[in-house]
Amino acid sequence: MTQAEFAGRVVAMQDTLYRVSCTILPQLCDREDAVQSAIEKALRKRRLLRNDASLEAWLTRILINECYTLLRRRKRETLFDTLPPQRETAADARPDVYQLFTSLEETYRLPMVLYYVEGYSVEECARMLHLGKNTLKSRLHRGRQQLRNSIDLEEVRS
Amino acid sequence: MTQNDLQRMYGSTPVSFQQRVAQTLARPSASRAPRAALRVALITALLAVLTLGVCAAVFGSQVADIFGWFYGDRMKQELLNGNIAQQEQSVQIGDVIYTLQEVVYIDDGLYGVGRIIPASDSVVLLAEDYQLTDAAGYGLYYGPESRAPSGAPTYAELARQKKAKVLHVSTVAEAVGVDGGTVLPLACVGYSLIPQLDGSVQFTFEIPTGVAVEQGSEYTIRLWSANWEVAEDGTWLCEEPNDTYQGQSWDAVVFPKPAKERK
Repeated sequence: MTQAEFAGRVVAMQDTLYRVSCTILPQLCDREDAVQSAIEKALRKRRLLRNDASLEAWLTRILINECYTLLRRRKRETLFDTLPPQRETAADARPDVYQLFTSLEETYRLPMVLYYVEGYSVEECARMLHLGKNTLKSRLHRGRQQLRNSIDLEEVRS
Repeated sequence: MTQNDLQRMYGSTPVSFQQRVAQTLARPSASRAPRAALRVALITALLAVLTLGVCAAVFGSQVADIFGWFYGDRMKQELLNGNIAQQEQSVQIGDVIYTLQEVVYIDDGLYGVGRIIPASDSVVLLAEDYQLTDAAGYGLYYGPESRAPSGAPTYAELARQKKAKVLHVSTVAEAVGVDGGTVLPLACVGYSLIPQLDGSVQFTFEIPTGVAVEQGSEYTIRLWSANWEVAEDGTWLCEEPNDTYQGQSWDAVVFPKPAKERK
């Protein structure tokens, strides 16, 4: 894969990168830092990618790692008595649905977003999150249960 | 509800996020960092440190002077040891000449200084953030040393005295390209415009590294410069029917060199 092809595919998936970073990081500036680090790492390591077709899942995985690294750093930096930062959303976001997803427990949120919002398969989600397929399925099941009364997810992956 | 509905709940991807993706991908060295180049850089840095005292004494730097004034002697020293380009490049827009005089690259950013001068005697320049009632030629935001003495003429008085028109002037760095790469818009730029007693306005900019800027041998700096007339009552004449606005983006290409190579 040439650098131009790589860049094209990264740009094509930037909405996914944004949404995944939103799922973990509350602040836009941190999401931007995380995506920059993730792309830089991917550029440096792209020759290690055996299957070009899995670039999107691979980069998403790297981004998730970068987001958690940043989140851990932020937690260390934040004083205990300060309030957690407000979650920043785009001006045209739908706060009602968005809030439902962000209110999911952390364990279920990312699997739900990767599977339902980004459309990755169970296998891909499991690989990205370093989980067994059955664990992932059970997290999706519990996530669905938490949202059952608010959103109908049946159509999404029917 | 469909997958698209769910994706829409996040809203559009912010422009700043898209810019960060584009800028990261456009940085040529993100994908290659050869050890040899690193060694060369380390040796160069070592030589720069060894020759520091001599070079600092031989070469002055307006950028080091002004940012040293802003941030202290340590900053001044860092800038004196940076890669410096003293290549004046100008553009005239109406009755105003904008000149980029010097650019310095150090590890944490690209710093520049320039000058805005009137192209004729019938013009008084008013820097951004200043008013006609302020004392002409004195900075308002730089502490006691730039405070105007009592009785110093204001911009309005000076314009009346010279029978000159007052032009509001501004200039700011808006994009940077490194080593001939894509000129990328900047998400974050610090800038200031400082009135001078000779009627000119000094401008500065500082761009942090990491987004569009990184170490290189050539920088294309895109500056946006503009001016418009200010009426006697302080109204900006930049809308119809009295639109005097003139502005343009222009590129300055500079080749900063380490102190040793500037001998």
